[in-house]
Amino acid sequence: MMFRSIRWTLQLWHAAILALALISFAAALYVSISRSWFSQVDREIEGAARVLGSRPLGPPSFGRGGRGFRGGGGGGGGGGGFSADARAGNAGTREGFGGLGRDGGGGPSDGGGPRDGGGPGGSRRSMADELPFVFRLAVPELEQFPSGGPGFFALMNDRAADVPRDVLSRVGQDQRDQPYFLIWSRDGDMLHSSAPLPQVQPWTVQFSKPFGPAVFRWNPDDGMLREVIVPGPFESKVLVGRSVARERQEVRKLAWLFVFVGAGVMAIGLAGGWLLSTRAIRPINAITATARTISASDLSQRIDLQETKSELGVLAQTLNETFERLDTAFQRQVQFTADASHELRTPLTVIHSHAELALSKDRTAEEYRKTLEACLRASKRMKSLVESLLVLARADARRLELNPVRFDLKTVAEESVHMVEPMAVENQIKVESSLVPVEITADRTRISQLITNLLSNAIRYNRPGGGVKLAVTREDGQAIVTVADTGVGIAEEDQKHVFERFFRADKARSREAGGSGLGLAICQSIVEAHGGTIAFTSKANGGTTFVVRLPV
Amino acid sequence: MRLLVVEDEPDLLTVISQSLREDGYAVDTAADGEEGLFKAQGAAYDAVVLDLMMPRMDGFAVIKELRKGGSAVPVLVLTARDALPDRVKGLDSGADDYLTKPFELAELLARLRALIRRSAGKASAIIEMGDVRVDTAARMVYQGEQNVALTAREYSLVELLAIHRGELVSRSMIYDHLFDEEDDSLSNLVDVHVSNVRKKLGKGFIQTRRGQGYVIDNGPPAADGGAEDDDDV
Repeated sequence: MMFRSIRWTLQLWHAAILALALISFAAALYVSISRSWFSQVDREIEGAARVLGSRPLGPPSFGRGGRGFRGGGGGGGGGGGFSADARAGNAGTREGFGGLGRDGGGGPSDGGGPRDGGGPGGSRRSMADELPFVFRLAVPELEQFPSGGPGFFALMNDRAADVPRDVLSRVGQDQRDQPYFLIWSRDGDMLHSSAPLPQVQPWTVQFSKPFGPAVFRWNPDDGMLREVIVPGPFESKVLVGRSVARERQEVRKLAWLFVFVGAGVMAIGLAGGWLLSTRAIRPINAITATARTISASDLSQRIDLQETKSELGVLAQTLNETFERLDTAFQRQVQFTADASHELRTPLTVIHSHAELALSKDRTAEEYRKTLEACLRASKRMKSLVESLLVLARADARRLELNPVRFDLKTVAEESVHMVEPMAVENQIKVESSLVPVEITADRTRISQLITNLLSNAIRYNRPGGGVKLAVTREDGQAIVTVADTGVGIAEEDQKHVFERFFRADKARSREAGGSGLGLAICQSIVEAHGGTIAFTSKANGGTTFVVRLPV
Repeated sequence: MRLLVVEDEPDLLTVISQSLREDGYAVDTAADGEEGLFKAQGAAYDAVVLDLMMPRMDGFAVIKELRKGGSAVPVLVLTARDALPDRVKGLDSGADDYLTKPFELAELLARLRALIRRSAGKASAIIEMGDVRVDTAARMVYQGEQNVALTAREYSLVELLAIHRGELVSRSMIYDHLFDEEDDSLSNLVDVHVSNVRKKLGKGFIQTRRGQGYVIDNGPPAADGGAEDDDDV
């Protein structure tokens, strides 16, 4: 039950969406960062490999060698190295390695300068500074550095001041990275290698070009080792590798960071969501509480609109409007019941009291007769009232039974006029009728009741010497019954109540005339049951005209 | 005792007034609120029986107008409306008692007797004056243990004087209370009734204050808190 509440549903969805968003974000970030790190590693080892590959292979074991290698000024290294090339050409001592450098062996060569070789001199140095790292190696002055230092990596260190720090530090400085290299000859013999060298499987890669793209792999024996192979001079192959354990560790740390931060964000998000849903649901609870106290017996309460704003305010207002309508409907119902009971109680009291009085002692035959007459009058009134109520109740339940037959409305209208004739004479009212034959399909009895009701109302609410006009016409495929009187009319404030049950504009007059206050309500029910309309126009003291339209 | 019945239903007006007359009351009738108010303001009634739902002026308005004019006449309201708010409103607007239609005539009569008694400051149905005892519930007068046979008019006279014992009751007041509007008896009929009662209950029972009226005052004051505590209300 609790978990089916809107609040829990919201919270669960909120959690799911939040988790999904966090995981995707963290995953994207993780992949991106780790990729960037590993591609950085690749760049570093490739850079180192290129440097190695660009060295002349003259001395059998570099790192141990005596003189520094001189760079062949040849083909220029890397892309866009022509200026460097030119420089090298100008300054270089072309000592026969030109061939090596011609098509791109990455011309520069290293002086295997040891650390203590010192940096280049100031002016040379400044010139070298303008060059990219790789080409700088080709600057002939550099060759002058003594060779035979700790080797390649020391050489790299030697250049530390000039090259981007991270490249050096990654490949050369951090011992944990365990950098290593290996140079195979064209025939696959190992020409050079670094001193610490892990198990390295031979790697057969065919380079189509001497300066072809580097190929990367993970060391097949140790997944922690990343290796690259690039073509070296004389179709040699240079492999440089190093451990990525540090990166792996960093990546793992990053993953854990993401997990913890994600969990924190999730917790904050869920707590915030819970607070928000609590706040959002509070007015709903208020509405519920109010709505619960509103019952059929007490519809007077309304939801406080001040506490509920926005969409909930609209909801509350809608509910309030509904309560208003219900309230009105219930009050009308209560009023109707009270009216009906009142109307029934009065004749009942007459019967009861007359009988009680008659029985209280011996009466003459005349007295008994009068008593019985009074009882009869009262019971007739009750009978007509009960019948009227029954018609209305059936109409309300949409069970007003109609016996539709085809008949001429004119005939029925004539009968109705005949029926009210005595009443008209008694009230000194002149009834005129202008009737044309209109065949309609309807319940003959009900239509007769309708017309009689309207006529007797027109006579009842008239003044002596007044007139009533009844007309039956046909218009636009409808039968139209018009009953117009010259009577007192209906006051404007009463007009909207005219069809209400037990409504009587003038209680005295209608009671004296024997009306129950249900006549027009019944007329309306009959007309509506036939799918017609009833309307009226009235002016105070200007007479009233009722117009009934019935489908033919 | 003279009563006014205001009721718009003619058959009910007839039966109530006839029943009250048969019980010895002088009864005036009115068929709507306006007429009822007019009559109630114009004559001294011992009680008014008033319907609430009436044309022209409803019962609430009649009571209000009546009370505004300073009248303290006991009003018994008759109505077909039995919802609590209606009853409360009726009593609050100045009605003294309430009876819902349909009602028993016997109850109406009992409630009227109680109203009249209380308005005269007598709580008991039995009023004792020396050896004479008036049972207003049974409408009987006893002398000692002996039931004294009185006509309805004679009884009403005794009752009126008994309720107002110790007070001077004028001849016109007796006339007003004993005869209704349709009664065109001569006012000296009061003297005839007084002399008839004296014949039956003893010469000293009713004393004459010449030129002013009559008084019954032969008993200890406040002797009416009698043995029988009536409560038919």
